[in-house]
Amino acid sequence: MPSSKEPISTGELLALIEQQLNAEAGAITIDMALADIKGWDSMGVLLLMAELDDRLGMTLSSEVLAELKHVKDIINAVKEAGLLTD
Amino acid sequence: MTPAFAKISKVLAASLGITIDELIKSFERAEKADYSAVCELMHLGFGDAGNLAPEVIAWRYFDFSSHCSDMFVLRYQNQIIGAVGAEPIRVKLDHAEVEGIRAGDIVVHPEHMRQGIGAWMNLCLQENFPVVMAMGSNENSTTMVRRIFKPMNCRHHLKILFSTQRYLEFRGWSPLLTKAVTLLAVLPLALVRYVFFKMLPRGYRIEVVDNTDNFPDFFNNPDYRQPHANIVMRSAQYCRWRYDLNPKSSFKVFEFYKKNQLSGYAIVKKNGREANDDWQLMDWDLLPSLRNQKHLRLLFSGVVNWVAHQHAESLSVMASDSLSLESLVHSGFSHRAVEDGFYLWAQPDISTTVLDEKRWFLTFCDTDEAL
Repeated sequence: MPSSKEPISTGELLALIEQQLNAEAGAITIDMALADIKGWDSMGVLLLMAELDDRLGMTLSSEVLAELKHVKDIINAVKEAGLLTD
Repeated sequence: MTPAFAKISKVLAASLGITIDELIKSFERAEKADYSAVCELMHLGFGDAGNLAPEVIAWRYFDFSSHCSDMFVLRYQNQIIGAVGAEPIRVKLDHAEVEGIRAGDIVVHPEHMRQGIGAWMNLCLQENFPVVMAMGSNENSTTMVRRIFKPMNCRHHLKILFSTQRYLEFRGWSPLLTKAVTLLAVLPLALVRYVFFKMLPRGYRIEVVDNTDNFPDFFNNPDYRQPHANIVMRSAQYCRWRYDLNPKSSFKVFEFYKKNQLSGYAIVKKNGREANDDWQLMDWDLLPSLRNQKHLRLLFSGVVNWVAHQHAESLSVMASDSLSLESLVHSGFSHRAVEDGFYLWAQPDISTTVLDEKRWFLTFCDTDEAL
């Protein structure tokens, strides 16, 4: 999805995910299953969606959300939207 | 609409490919015609849970004429993808009474899980009611509920044993030893009850009945509305619906009289089918002027004494406020465990009073989904 906001790095995106999912800094890695992250609940999803919208102007469709299984799937979705710098 | 809710609604609406207005309008009170679809959705979400058998759902969430049950649904592409079973509540604060809602079972269609719908429906209730009460029924929902609501008073499990037989059998004691110890324990257990027993003084009496027919005398007493503590108010209509018409359980009703005036009550449920099963103290209250340890002990003593004479194994209760807790302990109940309690949200102008744990007087019925 096109966006007028500034792209971010993978590290920044991971920090953003940690913040929204209530995880400690450095606790979330790219290969982690989202189901293993305690904060990956209904509210965590909403907060992450809101933050991606705020920071990147990016919307995650319900179809994309349904396919998210690992942290790397979120990173790939951001990458496919052209919003990742690395 | 608060800015935070507008922001959250915007992203959820966008993910579903609809506008914010369409999303807000899609979350509404269910109609009678939604009953089958909601049953199906709850079955998908919870499986064959006894608390959600179709007849229980019909009574608990679709008996709209009782004004005690409520159901909200989220419609999307001609189907119901989310539902929140609820109870309208009236919360008594110091000098005010506030309408609110107790969110019960909340379910999202499996194809739409992990999309933020469950949290959004809770937030939507917070937009529409000044007080929202919730429970975290499983690990996932508890995490979500903790983020949206304030965790309130812990629940303390208490129990009074009348016989040690089941207790020992459950712990794998041999039948012979269990029988011997059970016989030996009869006297000490009776002694403990005797020590804690409070004889009703002259002018007081307790009647044990099968229904709440006399409850209007209690709830229509002007004293019931006097300021005392934060409570989830009951009404005779609510108790009739909750206890007399309950399709899942049957209850014994203890009417507490002072000078021939119905001044309090307790509700007890038998948990099992056999005579000597565990009983559960579900609900209790006294007029605010009598809501103190002396009168609660009289009420609880009456209940303990009656249940003991039913050849019950034990009487359990969950208490969440210090007055009830201390009164139960002084009535012979022993402490077993502590766990998370219920969760609350209140709009900012009343949140200081509503979210103050010490102000609450609560019963098992307030803090648990058990029916």
